[in-house]
Amino acid sequence: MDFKVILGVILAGILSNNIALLEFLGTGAVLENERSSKKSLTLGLGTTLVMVISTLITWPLNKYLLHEVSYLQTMAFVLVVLIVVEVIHLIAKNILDNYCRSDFVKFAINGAVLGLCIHNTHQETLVAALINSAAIGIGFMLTMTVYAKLKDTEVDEEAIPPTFRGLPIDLLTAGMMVLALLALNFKF
Amino acid sequence: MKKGTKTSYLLKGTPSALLVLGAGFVMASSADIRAALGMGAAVLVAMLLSSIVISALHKVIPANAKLPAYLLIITGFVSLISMIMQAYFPEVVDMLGVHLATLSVSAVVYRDAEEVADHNGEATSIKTALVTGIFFTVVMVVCAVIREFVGKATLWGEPIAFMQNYKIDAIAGAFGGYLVLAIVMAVINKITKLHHHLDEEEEN
Repeated sequence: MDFKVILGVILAGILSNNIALLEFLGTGAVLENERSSKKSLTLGLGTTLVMVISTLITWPLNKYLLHEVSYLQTMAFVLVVLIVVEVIHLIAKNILDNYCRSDFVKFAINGAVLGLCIHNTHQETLVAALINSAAIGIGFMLTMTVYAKLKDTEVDEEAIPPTFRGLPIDLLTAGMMVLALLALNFKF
Repeated sequence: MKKGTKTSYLLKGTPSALLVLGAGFVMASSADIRAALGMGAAVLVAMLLSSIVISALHKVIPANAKLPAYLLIITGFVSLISMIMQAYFPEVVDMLGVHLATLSVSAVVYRDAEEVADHNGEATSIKTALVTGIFFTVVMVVCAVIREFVGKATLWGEPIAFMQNYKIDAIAGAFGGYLVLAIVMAVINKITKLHHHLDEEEEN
């Protein structure tokens, strides 16, 4: 695969195909995140690893085993994601528990990972699927980190109308990020 | 007063903090009323069935195996719902796309199973699942009506003649999802705070 194509896929994963903000997959995990930007970065890195390893297993699984029993696809993919997350958590337990508390398992099993595995079944080759996973994972990680940084910023609570405090203002902040992404993509 | 109490119960009884976890599929399926109703029905049925099964089995599932067991029970029901919807409403399944499958790992359904069904009997689990499911369906349908009407100038896929020159495409897109849900949540906050205030006044 040409370097320019790989660069294009990575940029698309961060900008135009941003899975959390534009595709609404794993949005809850990003919005719910109350951690610092450093912890979010570590958690995002772990999730990217889960995405790549899950794709490494689910793409061949779908191509060679599940194409005739497509109704088992979701069940098989959830099982694979579950195993991958548990194995990563076992191997890197100390790092993950120190940096991201002990909820990595629940966090990493989210719609973004499963949705990406299903999306990747349409990729023609395993290499293309893996590059796409890494790109989407980097996009997810950056979104989480930037959003955590925005939430960390001190704002005057009194300036926000009482009914908009909490989830509504969080959604509007994420909406502003979406506008910025859409502006970059010249879509808006 | 009775009417107010019912509304208050629905909003108080539904953990509105859960909406943040389900914000993704609410926004994804609220671009069209049919998709919103389809997703609402899927969430309601998945929560209801998984709550019944989990509350019946939670005593025999070992503590260490709860996460995989619950996820697989939920996934089984979501796959079943997906197949039934594919058979009877294929256009709705096409609209929902991958979001219907990702309902299996949705924190909303899992948290309901873990926090309610795991600690209570069938009756409480069914009641909580019904209230939460209906709440999500109502929020999705309200968002969908606004987004479809303003963003696409259609309702249930039928074009509305007088809106054709005034539609705002961005409302039907990703940004519209965040904006409309934020406004709907602000209205819900206003209603719940009003009821809290009324209850406090009654107590005093």
